[in-house]
Amino acid sequence: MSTRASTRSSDRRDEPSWFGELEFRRIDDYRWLIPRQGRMNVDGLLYADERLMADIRGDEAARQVANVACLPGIVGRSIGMPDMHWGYGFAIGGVAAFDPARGGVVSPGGVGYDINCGVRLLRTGIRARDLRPALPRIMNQIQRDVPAGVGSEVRDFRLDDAELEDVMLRGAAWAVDRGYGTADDLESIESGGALAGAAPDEVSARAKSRGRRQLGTVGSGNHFVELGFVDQVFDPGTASRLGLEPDTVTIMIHSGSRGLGHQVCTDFLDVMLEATRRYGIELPDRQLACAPLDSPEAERYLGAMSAAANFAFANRQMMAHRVREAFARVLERPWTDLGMDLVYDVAHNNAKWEEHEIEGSPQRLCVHRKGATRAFPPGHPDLGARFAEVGQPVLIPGDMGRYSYVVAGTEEAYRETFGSTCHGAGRKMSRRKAKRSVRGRDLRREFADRGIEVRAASFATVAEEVPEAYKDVADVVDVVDRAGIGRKVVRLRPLGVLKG
Amino acid sequence: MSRTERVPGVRELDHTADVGIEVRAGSREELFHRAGRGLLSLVREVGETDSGAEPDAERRISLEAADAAELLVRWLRELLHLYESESEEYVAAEFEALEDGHLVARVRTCPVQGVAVREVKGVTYHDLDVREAGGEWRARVIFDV
Repeated sequence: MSTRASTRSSDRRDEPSWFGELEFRRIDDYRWLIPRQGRMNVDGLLYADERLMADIRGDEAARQVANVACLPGIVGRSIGMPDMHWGYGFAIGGVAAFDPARGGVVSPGGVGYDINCGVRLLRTGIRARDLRPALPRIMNQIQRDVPAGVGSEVRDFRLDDAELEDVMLRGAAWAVDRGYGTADDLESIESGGALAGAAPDEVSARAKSRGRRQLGTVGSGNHFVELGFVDQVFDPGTASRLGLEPDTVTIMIHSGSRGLGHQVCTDFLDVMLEATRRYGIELPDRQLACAPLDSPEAERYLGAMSAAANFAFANRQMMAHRVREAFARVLERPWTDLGMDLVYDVAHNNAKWEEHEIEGSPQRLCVHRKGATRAFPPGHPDLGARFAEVGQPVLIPGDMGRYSYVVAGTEEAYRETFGSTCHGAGRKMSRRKAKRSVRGRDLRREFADRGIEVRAASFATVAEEVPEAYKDVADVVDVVDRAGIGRKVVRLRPLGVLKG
Repeated sequence: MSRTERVPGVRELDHTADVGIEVRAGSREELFHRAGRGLLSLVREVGETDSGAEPDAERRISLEAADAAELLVRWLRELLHLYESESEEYVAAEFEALEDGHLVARVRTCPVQGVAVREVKGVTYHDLDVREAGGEWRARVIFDV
């Protein structure tokens, strides 16, 4: 017999909310304040120009930035990057830092389902025009060697429990020990390719079983392996130091922690819902479910999240090396001769313990970045000698047809955004609409005519990922550059794309 | 040639970044059943000439939740897990208990059919709604893809 009526989520626009109609205040051409209002604990700060702001005002994302500002122990400001759009609880393109000494919390919704979804960039000494004759064969070989697609799994090795645990503890270093790349690579990965404090025991059996077969695979959706070339240089000094000479071929990999990370997020959303109740935390949106940083739940989540993050670092390390080997095989030269060095590898979904200054004194904070990238300035101790002068490289992918950017971290970002910047182009068209709009078109032919070789596990996915479905990443990067929270280094254009 | 299965009472929602379904049914049981089939229709396509396979595997699922909406999310997560980890797809269920916060069901499955077209990362709480009005049950669920 059917009983009572409805249960509504609390993030609908017509629900009574924690602040009224949101008030915005323009600070300058690229910054908008959401002044503390209603039950916000801090201000919100949005990076956007007039045009992006018009989109943002109409989107849930600004309200989500304000919601995050209501969380306990948040410090500084609740930040939204120019590529922000609504997500689960936290907006995508959001940054928020919490102080354990002030009852700060950690929230899986502030990290995302795809823990340590991130981007890696390799440079080469090969000029684009010299690569073109071999491009179709190289793309074929990459497609053979790097499994892509929905539920993509590896066929050529098996991970037992002990190995998988090692992956989760040591991340990219595990991969290097297995022959995927060199120790030198580790210096060019955020956090050296492994987060400390990983707790594989906190990763559920379900998550492990999903991840075990997926290490070394791209996945699907907006993940890819993309060959490109340096087509525009904005900062020649930095570009040269990073090995990004004009017209040279680059390889960009966008992927995360696959099913293992997704399952960790799913598992802990439930734990956090329970924790929210237990600790009596009131939330404007249940998807902001969280626990105080000094609680066992928080420790467990961060341990599992770090384990999943390390899985993703190992994943990208493996795939990058397979791409090196694919090049070597087709071009019949060692990859070292081809100068295929790692430029950098960044995460854009995670929560990290970092030291930042709050009211003049350094505090240890838990910084959440969801669809936002760490962008530390020149000289930051975490970057090591290699990047002391140029600052941390930030890799910002655009859609599959236009361009991507490399940007560098700045002092201003360190002061204003906890050393963070944007992560990429956001979608503007639904997947269904994108598919309908390309019906009857030969996408592979269209891309080939534009000089881009596409390989895909599914052209239905390619249809969902066409450039028209995305905003222009150039607009996003321009705002970041002009606001001073990222310094443009080079622009890359695609030559070949492998999609899942 | 393949098609996305049309599940009666299920409508696919158009979201910018993700996918969702809106489900209508005459009873709570039918709502949960249709939502399960609806999730499946987002994940894989079946051939035109495919009439489905015999559900010869059965298991008992028991779930608790704070309310009906959370229960639906947990139900769908279980079915997603069966699909991804065990390659079994949901066909039908007999509900021994189904209330706001409690579900016990005998679930029948068969090996996954058709071609997987989409990776669902998670079942979210975004815009989640489960309600009954005038004898009709409705639900809305968004999935992270």
